[in-house]
Amino acid sequence: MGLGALGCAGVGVLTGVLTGSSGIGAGAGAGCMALATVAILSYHSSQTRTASQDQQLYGYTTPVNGTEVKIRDAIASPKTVKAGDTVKLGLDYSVIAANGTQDVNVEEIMVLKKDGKELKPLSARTIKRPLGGSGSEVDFAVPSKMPPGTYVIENKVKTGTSYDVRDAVLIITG
Amino acid sequence: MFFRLFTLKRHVVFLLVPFLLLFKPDVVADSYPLPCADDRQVANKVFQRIENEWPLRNNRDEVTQYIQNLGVHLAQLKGYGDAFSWHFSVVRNLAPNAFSIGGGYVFVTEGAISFAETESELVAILAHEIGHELAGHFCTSQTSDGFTMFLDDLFLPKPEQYRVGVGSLTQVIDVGKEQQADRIALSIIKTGGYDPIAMLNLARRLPLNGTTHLIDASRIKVLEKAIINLPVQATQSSNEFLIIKRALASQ
Repeated sequence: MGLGALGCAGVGVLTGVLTGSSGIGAGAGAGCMALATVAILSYHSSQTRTASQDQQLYGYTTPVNGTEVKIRDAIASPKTVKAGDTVKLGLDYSVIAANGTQDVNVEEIMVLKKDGKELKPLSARTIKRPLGGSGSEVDFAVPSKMPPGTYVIENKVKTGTSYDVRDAVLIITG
Repeated sequence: MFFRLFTLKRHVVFLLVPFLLLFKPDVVADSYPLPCADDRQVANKVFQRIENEWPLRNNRDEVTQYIQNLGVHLAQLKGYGDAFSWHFSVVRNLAPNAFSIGGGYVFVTEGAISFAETESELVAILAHEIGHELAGHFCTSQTSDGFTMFLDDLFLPKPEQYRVGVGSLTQVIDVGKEQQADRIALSIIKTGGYDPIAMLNLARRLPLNGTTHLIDASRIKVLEKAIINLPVQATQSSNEFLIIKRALASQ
C-alpha cells in the first residue's frame, strides 16, 4: 500500500499524518529536486515490549516522575540499495514514565542527511505510545535519480523535554 | 527509586543549586580529601543505569567533547585533573539540570548548556558538580546517614535535606554539602579567571521554588552577599562555547 510522492508543490516536506498503531500507508511528498520525490510507502508501529519487559531488558526502574525516551536501535534495511529500490527503516525505542501513566505523546521525526547537511525532512508524526518498547517501520522508495553515495537518516523521538537521536546509514549504489 | 539499587545510601546531588549556599565569601576550600577507593565501583553501576535509562549524547560529539575538556580543565585548576577518571556526559533533555554521582561522573543536560548565557555561567554549573566530587560527598566511608564528617562541616548548621525525584533517581539535596560544593566552585571559578558574578546571574534567572533547583529569595540574597563584593572578572566566552551553543540551538 502506499501513496507515492506528490508533485512539485513548494517545500515538499513529507509528513505522515497517521497516529494509529497499525500499518497504514501514508505519504505526501513534493518538491522539484530529485530527492524531493523520496516517498514513504508505508508506516507501521506497534508496542514491542511491555514496560516490565523493557525494564528487565535494559535494567532501569520505574521513574518517580518525568518522562524519558531512549532510542534502542535505528536501522535501514537493506543498508545498501540501488536507486529505485525500497528501504525499510526500523526504529525501536523505550518510553519511560512514572507509574500510573498510561501513554504519552511521542513525536517521531525522520530527516535525510548527507555529509552532515539536511537534504530533506522525511516524516514527522506525533503518536500516542504506551510505556515500554515501541517500534516503527517505515518503507521508503528511493528515487531513481538519487545520486549514489552514503546517506544518513536521522531519527529523532521526543516527549516533553526528553528526546533522543539515532542515525541509520543508507548506501545508495549506482 | 534510587535507593533500591544500592545497599549503600548515596546521594545524587543536583547542581544548578549552587545557590543553596550560605557560605562565607572569605572561606574558600583549597584542599580536598582524595577520592575514596570504593567510590568508583559504585558510581560505575549508577552510570550504567543512567546510560540504560536516559538518552545521552555520544561521547565523541562536539558538545560532549567540549564539556569533557572544560570539566577536566576546571578540575585541573585545583590540581585534581588526575584524581578521577573524569567523565562528563550530556543528557538529551531540554530542561536545565546537572548532577554528579561520584567517581568523577558528572551529568549536564542540554537545557543547562542552553540556559548558560556565558561560558562563566556554564563553568559555575560544572564547577559546582566538581565540588561535590572533590569534597567526597559520595564516599560512603565518609558519610553516615547523609551527614558529612568533614571538619569544615562541623561548624555548619545541621544539614537540611531535601529529596526530589528525578526520573527513577532520588536526589538528596543537603544544604551543608551544597555550601561546601559552592565554596569549591567559587574557588575554581576564581582560579580559572572566570566571572564569579556568573553564579549569581544563574540563580537570579532560575525560577523561584523550582522543583529541582530549590531557589528562593533568601538564598539569592545569601549568594548576593557572598559574591557581590568580589571583583568583576571581565571574561569572554570561548569560540568553542559559542559553537556548541549554536549547535544546540540549531537542533
